[in-house]
Amino acid sequence: MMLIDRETIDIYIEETIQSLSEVEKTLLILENMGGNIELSLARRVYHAMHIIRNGANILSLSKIKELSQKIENVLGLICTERLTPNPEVINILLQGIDRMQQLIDLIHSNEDIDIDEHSVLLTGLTSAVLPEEIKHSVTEIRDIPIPDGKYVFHIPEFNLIQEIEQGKNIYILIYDLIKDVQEKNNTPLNFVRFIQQHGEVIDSVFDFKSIGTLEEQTFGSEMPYFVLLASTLKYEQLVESLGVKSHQIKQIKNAIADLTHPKTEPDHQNLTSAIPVHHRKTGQKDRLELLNALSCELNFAMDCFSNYSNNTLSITKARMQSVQKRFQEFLNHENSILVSNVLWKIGRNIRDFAYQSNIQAKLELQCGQIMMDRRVLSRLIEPLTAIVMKMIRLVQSETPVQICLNMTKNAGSIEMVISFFDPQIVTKKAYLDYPDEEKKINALCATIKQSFEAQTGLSVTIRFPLHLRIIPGYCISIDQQFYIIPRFNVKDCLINLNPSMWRCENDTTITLHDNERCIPVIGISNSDFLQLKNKTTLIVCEVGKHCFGLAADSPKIVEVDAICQPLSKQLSSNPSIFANCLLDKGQIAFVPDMGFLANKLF
Amino acid sequence: MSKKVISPGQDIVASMVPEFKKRLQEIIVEDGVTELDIDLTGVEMVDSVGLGAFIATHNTLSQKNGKLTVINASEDIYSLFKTMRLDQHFEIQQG
Repeated sequence: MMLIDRETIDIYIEETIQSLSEVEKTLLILENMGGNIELSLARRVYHAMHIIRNGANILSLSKIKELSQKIENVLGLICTERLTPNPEVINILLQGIDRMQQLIDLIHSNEDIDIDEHSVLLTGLTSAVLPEEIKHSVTEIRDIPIPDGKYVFHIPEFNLIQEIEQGKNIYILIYDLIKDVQEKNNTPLNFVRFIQQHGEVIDSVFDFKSIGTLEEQTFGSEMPYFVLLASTLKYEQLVESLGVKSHQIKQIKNAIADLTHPKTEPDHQNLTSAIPVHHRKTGQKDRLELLNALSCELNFAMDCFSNYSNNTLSITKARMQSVQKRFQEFLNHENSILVSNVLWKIGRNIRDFAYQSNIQAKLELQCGQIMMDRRVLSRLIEPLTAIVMKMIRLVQSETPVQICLNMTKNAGSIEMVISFFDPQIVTKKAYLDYPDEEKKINALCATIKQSFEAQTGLSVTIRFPLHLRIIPGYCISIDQQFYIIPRFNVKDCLINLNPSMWRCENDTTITLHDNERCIPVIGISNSDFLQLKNKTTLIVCEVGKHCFGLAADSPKIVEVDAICQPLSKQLSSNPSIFANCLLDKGQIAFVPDMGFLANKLF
Repeated sequence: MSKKVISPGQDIVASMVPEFKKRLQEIIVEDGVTELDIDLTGVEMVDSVGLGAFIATHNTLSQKNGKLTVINASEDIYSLFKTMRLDQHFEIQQG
């Protein structure tokens, strides 16, 4: 039986990605606080990591669990003020977070991702700052014998201390998988998941000797299995919750007696209340993407519909327009995010760049409460990081560099100015060369210019229009021209077509025969029959109930959120073009009017 | 030292284990195989008796200085073996 389904793992991935992003951001804040940290912030990241580790434990994601445990250990020390989050400490933590993100990205195939280096660095950090009397606990192994003495658990003392510090009791659970699982019609997987719901499985072991070999007659009669469990439950509660007999649970006290008196005990009541209630957002991103695509299709249809002047339709039109308006307002709100919640990543990039280059440089964001579309913001991180790095490189001296990114919102635009905190740090007139970054910024419908004034020094100004028309689509190439096909209209992509599949029905109609299907094909440019026969890719589109194909140059289709630019006069007179946009490398892409294309054929 | 791959192709549960055990014995004891790969393609569930079969096979092979490898384990089975720390005794590869 599939107990942990794909949806549960997807929820874990989604929540962990969000959580790691928050942890990363908060670590940078903690770093800037130096020796005078806000403990509630430290506790929040500690608890976030604790939740990630617990999830990994339940889902048996061993590498994520191991790495999050090590990060949690270090965070625990910061929480109890035994470790100052200086840049070296934060750097090691951030590297660990980066590796965690890779593990999450490749959650089903992360066996090749190595975490040894991070584990060593984090363990080193933990042991380096511990008081002499418990420093050895990181590498010291504690033997915990199983009651009958046949087996011994070998556990790093520090792991035990961490569990004890979290107020957990340590137990050995004694099971026989034949009597306790098989004869109760339970499966081993359900059984271990059930135990994990009651605490942290620190280790477990089978009595291999009792199980014997294939030749032995005793085979299958007993399967002793021992679990070392850390649980917040008291002995009686655990016996009752697990539904076992009292002799099956032994609480470990003597073997760990010397570990049970930590120097400082973290305030776990506060830790628990420091985090907000977790809201599950299953597929929220997917839902928003779907709504964006739906809205785009509705807008296209409404644009077309609005051209009719029939008075009898005016009320219907007005009602639909009001729905469209509310729908758009809702989506604008959903797509908006505080700028600082995304652009902090540039600060992280600059921090890493400075750390690797052994220079002192910092970016200060002054974005206030300005909100922007998250799709635009995510595409700004790369070019803005590159521009800020180029500005830092202009500074010749070893003076610490502080760059300020200031944002203001005006009536019709949002303006972003990047400048040196100290305008005199670059004394002679400097010029920044950023052709690639400029193309990426222009693709966002924004303009960029730089200026140098004696008083204010070098500054780069980027201006965004307040309202953007964003079309979620797929970028394809047809006869060497890029087109954005709205995502909602793309139903399929047929590849490896051969010339025999194309049929010329009459002078104007070309069809493609794919198995039982006959798909009418529209020439979006000047494609004629001979040209189409060389095409090996067909994008199958659907407009309303109509289905047709667009023959593309290659099977490469790229998902984009196209930010539309105003149409030039020449283009606006072309009824097949609805809008145009710039791609990241500066090429122009057209958004075809899918309704017009469908009409052309039907 | 000879190597062999065995593919049960069905869930490793109490009802099939006696026959499966017999096959394993033939391969290890009679044919002298010391490096055995158990291919779990098509296996969706392993019950407690099935787990015992893996451990007993490992024990038998260990006596002959042999080695057991479990290959193509499904996500659930891989996760079960890891949680039960069986990967510390023999190699388990996910499918």
